[in-house]
Amino acid sequence: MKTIKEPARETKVIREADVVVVGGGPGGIGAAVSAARNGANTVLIERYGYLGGMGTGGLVTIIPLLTDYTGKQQIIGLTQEWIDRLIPRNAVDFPKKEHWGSMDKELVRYYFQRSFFMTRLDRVSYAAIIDAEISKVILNEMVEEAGIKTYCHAWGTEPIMEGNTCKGVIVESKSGRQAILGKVIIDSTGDGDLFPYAGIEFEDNIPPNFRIANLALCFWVDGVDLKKVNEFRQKNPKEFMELSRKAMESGGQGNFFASNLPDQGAVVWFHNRYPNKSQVDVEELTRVEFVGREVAIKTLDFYKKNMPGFEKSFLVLTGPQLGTRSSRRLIGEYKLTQKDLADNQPFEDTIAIFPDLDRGQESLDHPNMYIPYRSLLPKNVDNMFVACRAFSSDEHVQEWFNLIPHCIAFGEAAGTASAMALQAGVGIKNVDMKALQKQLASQGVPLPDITKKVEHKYTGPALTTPPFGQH
Amino acid sequence: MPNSSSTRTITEPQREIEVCREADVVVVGGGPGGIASALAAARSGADTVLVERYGHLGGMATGGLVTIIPNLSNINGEQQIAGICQELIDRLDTKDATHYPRKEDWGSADEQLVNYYVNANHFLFYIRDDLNTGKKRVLYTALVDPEMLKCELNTMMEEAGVTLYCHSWGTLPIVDGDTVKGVMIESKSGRQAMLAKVVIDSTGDGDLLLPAGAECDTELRPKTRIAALAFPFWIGNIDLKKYDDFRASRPDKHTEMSQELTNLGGAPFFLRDLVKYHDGVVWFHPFFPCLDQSDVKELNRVELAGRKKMLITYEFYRKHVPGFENSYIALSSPQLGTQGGKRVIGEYYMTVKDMVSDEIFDDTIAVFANNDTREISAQHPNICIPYRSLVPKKIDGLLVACRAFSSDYRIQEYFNLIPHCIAFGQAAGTAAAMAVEEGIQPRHVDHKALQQNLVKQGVIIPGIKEAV
Repeated sequence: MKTIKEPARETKVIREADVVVVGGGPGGIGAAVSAARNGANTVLIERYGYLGGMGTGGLVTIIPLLTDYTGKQQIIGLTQEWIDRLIPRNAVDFPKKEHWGSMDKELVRYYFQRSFFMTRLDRVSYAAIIDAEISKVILNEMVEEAGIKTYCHAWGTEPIMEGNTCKGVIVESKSGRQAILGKVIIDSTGDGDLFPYAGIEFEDNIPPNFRIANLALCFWVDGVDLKKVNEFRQKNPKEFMELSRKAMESGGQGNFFASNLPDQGAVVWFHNRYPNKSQVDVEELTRVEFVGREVAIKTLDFYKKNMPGFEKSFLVLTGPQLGTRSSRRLIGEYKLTQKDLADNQPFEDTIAIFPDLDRGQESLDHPNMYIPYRSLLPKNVDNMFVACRAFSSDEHVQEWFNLIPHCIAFGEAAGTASAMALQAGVGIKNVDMKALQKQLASQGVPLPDITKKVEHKYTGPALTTPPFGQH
Repeated sequence: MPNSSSTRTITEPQREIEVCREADVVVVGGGPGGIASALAAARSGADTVLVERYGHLGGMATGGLVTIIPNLSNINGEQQIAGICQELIDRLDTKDATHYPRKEDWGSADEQLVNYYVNANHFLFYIRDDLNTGKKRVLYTALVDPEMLKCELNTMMEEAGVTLYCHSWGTLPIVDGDTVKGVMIESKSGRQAMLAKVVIDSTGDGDLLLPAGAECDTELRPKTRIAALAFPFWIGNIDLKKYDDFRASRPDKHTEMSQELTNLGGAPFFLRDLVKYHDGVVWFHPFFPCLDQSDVKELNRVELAGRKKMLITYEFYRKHVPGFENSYIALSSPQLGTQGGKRVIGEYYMTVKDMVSDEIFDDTIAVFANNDTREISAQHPNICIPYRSLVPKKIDGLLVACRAFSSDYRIQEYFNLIPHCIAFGQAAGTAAAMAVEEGIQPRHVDHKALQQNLVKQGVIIPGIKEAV
């Protein structure tokens, strides 16, 4: 492997802060807002011009799995605040609270038609469909209100390491190569981009048949006469299926869903899966940009020619960001594994509860997953958190719990703990867990009673629908 | 707690950086200048790499939501920019993804036609006052569909055999004395090096120039068009007929609302999207004064201000303006609209003097319609661009093919648009390939041979016809 020598240099420090968060996606937002609101002088670094990561630029725009199968909301906190801020702007859609957990067949059918994310395990599930553009706006409002110093259009490249301590990060931007120093550093890059330089142990094996093994390039088609599409679908279900199949044969995508957001009545969304060698290989990322765009065009061409209702449609938007799902995973102070999926009791250091809804019967037997603080902590670095999907998990846990609300929750814990550690003058590995949990609870994060064992036996009706994520 | 930055530095140690690629030509930046450079270089036989920070190509023309390719003809209707620019338009035409006046209407003073463009608010792009005749005339300007253009650019790159590195930030040039040998890139794959015989700076802002030791002119005057950043956005699902009826029947109310929105901090003015099927979509292009578009703090300031202004505008329109009741924000620009910045001081430095000299240089590589300088334009409808304005002084191995070409701020003000940068790129890419083939530096490429190559590619150069 050929190398060239890059000489030593002096890099200008443009800012010194308490907490430096690298990455402005769901994890980064959770971390930065929590740290700042708890009194830390906080910097947030983001490569694109806007915040929200997969939730906005990635065009995922779905915040699912907020209630467990009984209808109890287990993810609240900043995730709920994001949703709350969208409500007065008419920029979010979700099932009515009184319907969460309902098994009423009519209700389930109604919500399934609105969005299949709104039902799970034969029941109504609290999932929010969000407006990406309005979300970008409210996220800006949140970081400004919290007094966070934000650097968009800035790529957080390497951590500055001094033994087992991270002193800050190097940032590349139009202003050149610069350094930002901090006392606690939070990796919210999604991919654990700081790991290789910090000598942090990680794994990245992903079975090819897993959902997370795929990249996506989501796209939106506008100008659709949805009434015409739905009529055709209802009157000619066989032909509709046939057209979907033919769309795929012609190199396009067969599956789309209506936006369901107010005023997006002529818009349909396409989400997809592209297998790849690695989601942190720039050549693979580039390859998928090309493949994805080609598929988008072929899809549009086919639908315009053949599907009633698409005659005047046009491609209004391809994702400003690639849809990334998984790459590196921290091997941290505690690694959540398949074993925890079967037999998960609240840890003493539980910082979040995630409803488990996608695994069919196994989910009914294991309604919630408990997340320990230690799964955010690298072993060999004293002052760094991982608050994104790269948290310490095996491929099985990652497959189910790497979504937007999960990452916000990681961020909330990491950000809050950072501020508390700094105030108490202790390392982040020595934060008082009870105090942290009390503080998180006061911020609206549901936490279990860690003194009691969870005794759960599912006694409800047998499942009639297949699990969402079938392998 | 103290927030201020310090003059503190940290020491980064020396290290070995993996060379991920060695090529003939590496183009940094995949905007209009970069895509043209890459296509021209590859088609001329060079092993070419294109590096782009975003996931898509096209720069301001796509991610920047500018989507307007203006001034392709002068006011007399004579086309001046063809080449790759025309090729893009031709390709989009086959997909119903572009809008432009018919060829027979270029230069036309037909009132109906003129009014069509004025009513669509495109009078800055399609219409000019002809001071010689006192009439308004139609220019050859094209609007493009940015999503289709992104796809088309990908296809063209694949066809030409260009190696793409999207999601890659070209940072520092690799310099050996006065010669640029390559560029460092940052991406999810880490920090890597690319080596090249010729590097083309198509970053828009000339990001490689100062680190390479090239002399630059950084003057930017306040209140000029280019001393501003734009935050464009699209609003969709509009009933334009309803809006038009309202505007026609209640013009006073319309004016009052526009004023009210301005007072609230919004942007009342929008352009229609004339591309086929886009009739439910309109464009807003608010500008924010900014004297340094290479200052990340300024970029952030405008991101925040822009999004605020967008929301104020959208909510006002939704609540008050007929036709917008069911509208939604379809898209805020994935990239900030950048316009002006530093320029290299090259082997030829273009100034306002060149707007009136009518000089046809020995090394002319493009001719631009000069439609925007009123009395000067009336007397001098065209301006020629010499190859030497793309060549830095002293520094070898480097060409500039973007709005950072060698010019004073006045020239940059008028000739930094998408078709201009495409023209710079076509010339720079062709010249780079020629330099590599002959084993010489770009500054020594034979001008006549370069012109012949460009004319063969469909570039219009005054006085040069394709040799038989």
